[in-house]
Amino acid sequence: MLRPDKLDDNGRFSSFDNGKILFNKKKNHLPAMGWNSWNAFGSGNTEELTRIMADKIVELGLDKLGYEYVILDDGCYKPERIDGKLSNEENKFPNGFKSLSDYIHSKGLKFGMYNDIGTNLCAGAAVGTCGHERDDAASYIEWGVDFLKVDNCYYPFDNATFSNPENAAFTFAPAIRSIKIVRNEQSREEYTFNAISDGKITGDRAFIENNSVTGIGTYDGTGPEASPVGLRSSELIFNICADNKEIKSVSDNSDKNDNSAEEENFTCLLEIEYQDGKEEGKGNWTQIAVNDDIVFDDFISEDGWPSEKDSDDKNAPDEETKEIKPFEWSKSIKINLKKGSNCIRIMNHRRQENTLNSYARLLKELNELKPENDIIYSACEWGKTHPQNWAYKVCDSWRILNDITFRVGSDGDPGFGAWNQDYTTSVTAQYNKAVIMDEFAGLSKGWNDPDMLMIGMNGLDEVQCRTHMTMWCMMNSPLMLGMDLRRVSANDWMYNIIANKDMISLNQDALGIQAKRIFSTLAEKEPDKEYIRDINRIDVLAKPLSNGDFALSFINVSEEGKNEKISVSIEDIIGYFGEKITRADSYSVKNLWTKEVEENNSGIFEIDGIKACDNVTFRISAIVS
Amino acid sequence: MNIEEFIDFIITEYESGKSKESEKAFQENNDFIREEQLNKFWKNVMSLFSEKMIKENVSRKNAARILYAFYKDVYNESDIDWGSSKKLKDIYECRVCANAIAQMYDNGILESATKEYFGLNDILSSDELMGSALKLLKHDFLQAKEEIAIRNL
Repeated sequence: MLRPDKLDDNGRFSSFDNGKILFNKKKNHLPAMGWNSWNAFGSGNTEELTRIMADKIVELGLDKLGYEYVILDDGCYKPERIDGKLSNEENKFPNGFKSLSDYIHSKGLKFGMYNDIGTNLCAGAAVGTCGHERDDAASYIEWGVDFLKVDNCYYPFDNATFSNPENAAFTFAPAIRSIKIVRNEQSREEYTFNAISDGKITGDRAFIENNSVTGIGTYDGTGPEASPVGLRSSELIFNICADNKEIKSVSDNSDKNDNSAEEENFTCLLEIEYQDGKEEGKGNWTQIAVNDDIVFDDFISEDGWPSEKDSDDKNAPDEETKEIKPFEWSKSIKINLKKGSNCIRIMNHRRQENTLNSYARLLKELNELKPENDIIYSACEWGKTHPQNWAYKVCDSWRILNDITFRVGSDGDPGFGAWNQDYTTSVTAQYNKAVIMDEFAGLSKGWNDPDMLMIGMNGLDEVQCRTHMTMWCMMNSPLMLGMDLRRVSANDWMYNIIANKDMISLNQDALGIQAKRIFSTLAEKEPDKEYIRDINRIDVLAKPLSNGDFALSFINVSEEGKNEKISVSIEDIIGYFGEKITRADSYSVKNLWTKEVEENNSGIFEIDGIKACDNVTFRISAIVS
Repeated sequence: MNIEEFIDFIITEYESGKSKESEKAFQENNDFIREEQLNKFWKNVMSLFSEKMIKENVSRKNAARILYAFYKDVYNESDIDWGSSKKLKDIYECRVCANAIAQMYDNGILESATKEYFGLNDILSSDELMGSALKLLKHDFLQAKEEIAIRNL
């Protein structure tokens, strides 16, 4: 059975905030723009259709507006490897990927492909990169790939889509009832600390249940429930004070070190009273840190491995028949306590760490084989592991949720997209989350990806598509067209939306700042941080631009028209962005959809009523007298 | 019945022209178009499953994918709006087959394992598979669409 890699410090949770980029990932890319086959054709995309789409991009002049990547999504490979290598599905791609890549490059465009960090692709082909990173990197370089979208199905180290649900054993620690420190092995001088009375839970993922602490791990961000903001995981922490006489629990570990004396260490044994599981919230893999040292990072119990079965095994135990294990004591783990205060952390950050490591493995091979490559690397792990915390280290963008639509099109059928619908499958579900994620985006990091555009699919009208475009442009989201471009003609309504130069210029602005939500009719205190899923609201987004201008967007998320007057002042905006916004006596205000320009002398920007699902978006320039 | 046998069964039954829908299709299409459509269906499903995979038993989700491929490629039917399938708690767990499940479930071709769960990975028996295939082949989609439209009013 596959086993997660051992990690070095660069790949650990404790390094997520250090700003360090791994394996020479090149940065400072603006959000990628192009066309991806998935929303248009699903698994039914073909070489012929792809060539036609490339032709249409050039014919419509979309390439001149920045749409440069043509990306093959799932469904393009043979279902199994041939001699360990990826190969083209011959019925759909008869001339192979190099030929298609050459064609796309001959049009002045760039070529993108798709794979998965798991063993299989989401559509089922058993050609995931897991364990094949070297071979696959070589293939992608040989084929002249400029962009890689990498998915997360059939992932062996988490309970991802189509993975064995028992893989949660890798990503959650067991429930913990207590820990024991044994100072003298012979005399068994023991000190026991209760998880509830002596321990402290960080974050809000873990909780107390059955006299123990459970849920030690990271929230699953695939669905729309979990906010992306704040600490997304929990640890169980014991603050312990040790001296020559005793070891005791203290409320915190500040100012308790005896620095006057030479540092004294006590070698002890640590044992944990645990109940392991193989389900979301209760697993087996345990990480233990004493002060700054990781002293254990493995399965606490070898019989707690996920079973060999995969998700297709119908004999998986259901909730009622699942065995509930008793609490038991772990083997002893040698630790060093120092005189004074110590912090023992019991945790499992492997959900994030393993996924980062898997994405890094492919990047490492690509950059070893061709160090000068500048492949745009798009993580599509659907927000499951909160990639906003780590993906900047190896990727250019990261999906924030599961798919925006599950009703993709096919040749002759445009598919279906919704404004507001269950789960993640709508413009608003994706927007609601992405709009508060500006702190994670930037030129030196990368971009939040609320999935591909649904403009041109059934289910969304012109107004909704216009606002969809506005949202994605304001939020610096990658702009991936997802429609059959044969349905677009120059100057029809779809073209006028996707080719709105003023909008694209917001998305591609050199400053690379994702808009911040500075006001929402439903926000209580912090509109830029509060995760609001009720769409019956108006939001105001502001975005500083590189030439000193700023963009301001009033967005009616609701499916009902609103009559209220909404205004924000220049002081409100400066309050969020400081010097990035220019204070002036008057401003030139251009409506980026109607193209009307007005002068504003008040510094108050307002709308008086707004249609359902509509937006009013301005580019505002200070008039310097 | 494995995946290969299931696909063969659908094609054989269709070609025999016994079922209501296939009879209609046979009347409307000439041999060339029929062959083209079946060829498209065959290529489509063969791109989903390798030689090894087609020897495996048919899970409910794969049954949905195969039947849906036939619905699109041979019958050229357009999708209906999702109805009660939205209530299936596991439908979003299968990004590549969610729509196939919804189309086959809402059209009454495939049943769910329980009221709440489709049962993505349940292995279907030969009788269940043949029953669903015959439902698809005999299905009156026009009438079904009218019924669904009335239901959604």
